[in-house]
Amino acid sequence: MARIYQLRSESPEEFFLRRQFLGQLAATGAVLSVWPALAETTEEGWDDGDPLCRVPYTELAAPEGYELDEALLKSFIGLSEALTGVKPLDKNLAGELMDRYARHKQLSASLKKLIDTYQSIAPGDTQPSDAALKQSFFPDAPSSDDAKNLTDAAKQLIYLWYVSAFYLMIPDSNPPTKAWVYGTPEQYRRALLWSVIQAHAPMTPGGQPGHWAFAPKV
Amino acid sequence: MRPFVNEPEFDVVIIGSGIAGALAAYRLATAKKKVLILEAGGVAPESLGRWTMVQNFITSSSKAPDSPFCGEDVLPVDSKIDSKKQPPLYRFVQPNAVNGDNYYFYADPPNPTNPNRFKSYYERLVGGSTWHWQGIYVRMLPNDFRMHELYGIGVNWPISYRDVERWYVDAEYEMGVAGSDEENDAYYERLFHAYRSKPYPMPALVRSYLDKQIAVAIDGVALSDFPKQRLKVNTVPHAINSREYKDRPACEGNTSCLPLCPIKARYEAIIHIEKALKAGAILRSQCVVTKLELDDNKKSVKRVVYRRWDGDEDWVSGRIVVLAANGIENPRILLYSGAGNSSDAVGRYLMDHPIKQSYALAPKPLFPFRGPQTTSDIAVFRDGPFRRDFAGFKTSLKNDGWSSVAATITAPRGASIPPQHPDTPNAIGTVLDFVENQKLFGANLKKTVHDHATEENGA
Repeated sequence: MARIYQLRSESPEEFFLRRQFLGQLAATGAVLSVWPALAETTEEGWDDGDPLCRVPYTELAAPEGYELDEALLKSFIGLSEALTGVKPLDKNLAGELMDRYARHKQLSASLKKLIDTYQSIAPGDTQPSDAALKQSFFPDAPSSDDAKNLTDAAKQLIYLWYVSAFYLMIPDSNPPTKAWVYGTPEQYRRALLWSVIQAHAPMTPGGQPGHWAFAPKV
Repeated sequence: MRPFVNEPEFDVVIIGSGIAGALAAYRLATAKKKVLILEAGGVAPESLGRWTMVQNFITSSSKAPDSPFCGEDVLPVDSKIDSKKQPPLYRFVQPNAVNGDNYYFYADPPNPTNPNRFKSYYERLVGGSTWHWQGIYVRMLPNDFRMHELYGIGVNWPISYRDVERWYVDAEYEMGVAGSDEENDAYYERLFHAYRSKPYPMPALVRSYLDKQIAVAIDGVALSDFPKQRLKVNTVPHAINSREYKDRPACEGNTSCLPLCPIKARYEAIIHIEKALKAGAILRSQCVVTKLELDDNKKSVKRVVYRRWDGDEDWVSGRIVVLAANGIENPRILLYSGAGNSSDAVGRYLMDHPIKQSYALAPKPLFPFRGPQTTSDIAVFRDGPFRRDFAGFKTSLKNDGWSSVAATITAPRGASIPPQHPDTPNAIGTVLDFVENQKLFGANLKKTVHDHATEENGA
């Protein structure tokens, strides 16, 4: 029990304000997303309800300006492996996630830019260096709005693989609010996060009864 | 509304289909009584292995305790929201964090600078709030009934542990409670005189790897301010099957006890609602009881008046009326009806669910996010002379890391993007934090997420 972080309790007044804020969010269709100052992270009303069953979004019939072909999938997998640090990634799951990304109205155009950038630093799908990846997708000082947008697009790709959800602004939310936007239950179950931490997605099977009594084997 | 008929339609009218109403309905229906259950909420979707509820949870952004039960036929939609235009939106007509209008206050009148809001809420559903309970099942201790006599605090109960012990046993066998008889004898009975007249129906849930590591570190340790109390990690009884029991399976460790066990290893009141209906009880759902109409001498209930979600009003009568609508709705009904309040205590002394949550990183992996959300606790501070000065408490060891220790963290994915915190890089430990604030990706991200999550320790 080495590092213990001291938390202070939320004052009743803050609690009240937060709840008002949540009420507004509920009215606008947003989900909770408020951060009190970090060093003074708060005690929470721990069983906040869900004001929103799920975030609705429109799916395009097909991405505009590019095809979801085999070559694109190959680059999508290469880029995904580079950004997630997990290799090899499942090709079928990759196809599904690429489809989700490409057909998401808010994200569709970004995917093309991500892939184009990736191909420029990994010609012929060679392995790009960490430095090139960082410079392209997570530069310390982004030089333009385009560069910032590319970083945002790369983050969404990481979230999609790790969580099986995008982390997106809810359309028309006021105040502007971000929420997780999930896909199918199978994708949820296979989200990388869970195998990375040697566990399993909550509400899905974890193994034989009693498996939790021992350290995971893999 | 149709005219009153002076002939009770039911032997017993039970208001509320939660754990109290469900067990009462089951016993009475089994004894061939004519039973009606009135429930304000709707029926949760439950077929094909809870498919719809599991899907609701998985596709929900927040993964909140009520996420599995989304849907207009289940939870009342706020009348101000046009459900056709905003189908995924609903709001509770109950005290909920989301809806400030329906809050309950400890102070009366509410003090604007210290609102003292009641922070818990309940599920308005057929089956009630055990739909989202975690299944931790803990008896009160004998001394809990004698607080004033022993510690000069509060009031003594008019009944004792001895009076309720056999009913605890009955409930435990109906629900199926998994607990350790050896630990009860060696610990609860020895320390707190909490004897059991019958063994637990089944052995305790298997202790997690995490529990065992913490036990190695702290068992037998005394805190400097409390030299007499020795810390001890014990399994905690759960209304969760550790083996097949009454046609429900053993826990397989889906790590989602709260809000829903997808395989029904966790006990829920809906199980006894089903049994009660099978035994002949009748259920009317989406009927909100507004009032008990009393007879002229105010001694008995003439009829129970309720309103359906479409606004229609109706009534029903019974020889006996059971109020089982929970600690908020029961007083609401009584007060609104001018009934049963000679003590002037109705609607007062509401008890919340006070908790303090703590979290830390262990010096080596504990591998949380596996198994039931809790399997052990530290109970030594549940009773002792210190209760003159502060409340007794127990410490649950969490098997799900930092996922529920603070709503703003919600490990391991994160609920929202925290502000930058370069001096305390491990203080949040979510994917959102590592990616947004620390700009991690690739192998570095994978390792950091792994190392943090496997060392998370919550209580």
